[in-house]
Amino acid sequence: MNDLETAIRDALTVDAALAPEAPRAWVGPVLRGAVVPRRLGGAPPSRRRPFVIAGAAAALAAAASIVGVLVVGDGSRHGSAYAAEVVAVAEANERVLIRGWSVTRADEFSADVGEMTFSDGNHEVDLRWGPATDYPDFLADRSHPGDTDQLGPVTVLGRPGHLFRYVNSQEYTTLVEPDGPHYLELRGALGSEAAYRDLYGRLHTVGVDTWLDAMPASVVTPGSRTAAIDQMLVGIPLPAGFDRAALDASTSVNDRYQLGAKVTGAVACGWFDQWFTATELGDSAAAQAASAALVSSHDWPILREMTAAGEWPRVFWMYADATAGGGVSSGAGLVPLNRANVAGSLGCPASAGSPAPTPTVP
Amino acid sequence: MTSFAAFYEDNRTAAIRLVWLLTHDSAVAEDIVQDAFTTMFLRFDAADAFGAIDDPRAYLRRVIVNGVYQRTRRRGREARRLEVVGRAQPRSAEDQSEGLAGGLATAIHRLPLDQRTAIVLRYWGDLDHRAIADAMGVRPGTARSLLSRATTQLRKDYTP
Repeated sequence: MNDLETAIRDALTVDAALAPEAPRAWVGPVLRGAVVPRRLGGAPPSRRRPFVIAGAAAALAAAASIVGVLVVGDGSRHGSAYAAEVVAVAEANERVLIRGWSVTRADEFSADVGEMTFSDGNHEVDLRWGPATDYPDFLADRSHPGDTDQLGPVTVLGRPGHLFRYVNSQEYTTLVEPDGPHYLELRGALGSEAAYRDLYGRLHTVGVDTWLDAMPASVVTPGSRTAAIDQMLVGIPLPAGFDRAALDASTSVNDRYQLGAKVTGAVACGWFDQWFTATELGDSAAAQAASAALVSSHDWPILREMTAAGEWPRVFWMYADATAGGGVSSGAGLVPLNRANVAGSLGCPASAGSPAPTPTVP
Repeated sequence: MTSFAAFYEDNRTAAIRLVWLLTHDSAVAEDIVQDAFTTMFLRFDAADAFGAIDDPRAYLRRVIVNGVYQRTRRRGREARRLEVVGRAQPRSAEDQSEGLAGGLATAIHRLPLDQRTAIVLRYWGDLDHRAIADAMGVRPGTARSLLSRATTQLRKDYTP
């Protein structure tokens, strides 16, 4: 090892000593926020980045979901088979599809921002759009040295754009400059640059009905939402005070998996609240009743169905079982449940009168 | 068979130091390490498959490096936004490093992320080209090239 290599090693050794200390005990997955971790369990680690980045995520969360108004209805002023509200949202959108590819996922979206995943059976690409005012930020982000190779200007849908390849990968993304209220981004890994560029010629703008008709069947429309929730709740014991109306009124979900997470999460929040309160008060009968309801979730059909689509059921069951087992099993012991972790993982609202969150790591 | 809890105990310090060396951000380091172990826990432990992983440390390294790449890209955009509104980025970590580990640590931290990752894995992680490549999801030749470019740059900054 030469002097430089020795110096690098010494510098890194000293630098590493400045690192913070990691929590001493494994406490299980403490999932922050009301995250539905549907992609955790599928593919092995990859270089794929989350498509929605900071800022856009908040905008997505705040956006009125199109699925909140997707309803086969009144014929509307446009003669569409869809309701006037959804037509208005669709009209304000880019309404871009990919010839030969089908839409497999449509996150909640509004007139301002949205994201869809397309598949040809072998590959997936994501198409997102956002407000023109965000374009400079996204362009700067995608152009960041060390993250991407800039492959030059391109023309997509007759609009100028920029093609990037993420370093050390075959993942490409194209930012298409705004032409009106939106910019577009097309992102995917198709095995080669040529295959990716082939997508440009397949992109086309369609009419409102064609675009809405292309939505995947998994999208739950308001017209079917109540029935879907009814069906999901079959066989599920409901806690006292369960607010079914709030569930019906929600517009923050878009497909069956996410609706299932919303429904089962709402039920669980009620039971966990009862369990925590009863435990704190020493009411063992009420605590046991709540625990039994939660543990019965292993037989809830919607959770069993959802296991194929993501990790929500597994996380749900881990916490449910902890009510009967004395805590979350860490392999080296049990870590007691607390309201903060359960609320953070299952998306429960802050409960009035909840005790202050206690740290889970001794 | 190693339990997941034991694996966590054995590797938690190294994991957070690796992320620290790549990011110089305590909060990010804690987040990424938590996410990395959570990913492995959900993928393997709950399915009683943890013991079947050939090299869990290699798997963890790859999850961590992937997490750093994801987070760095997001934070890059956030930082630029902060600069726009006139709020300087905190530099305490870098200043600390400058004082204690010298200018070379700072020079390493200023390398592009892929070169920095290769350097850290090679000289702090003591990994060979193949293991570095595996952690970064690149070919061994690419790892070798990244190391070469990084050391060339660092040689310019290094005064014995």
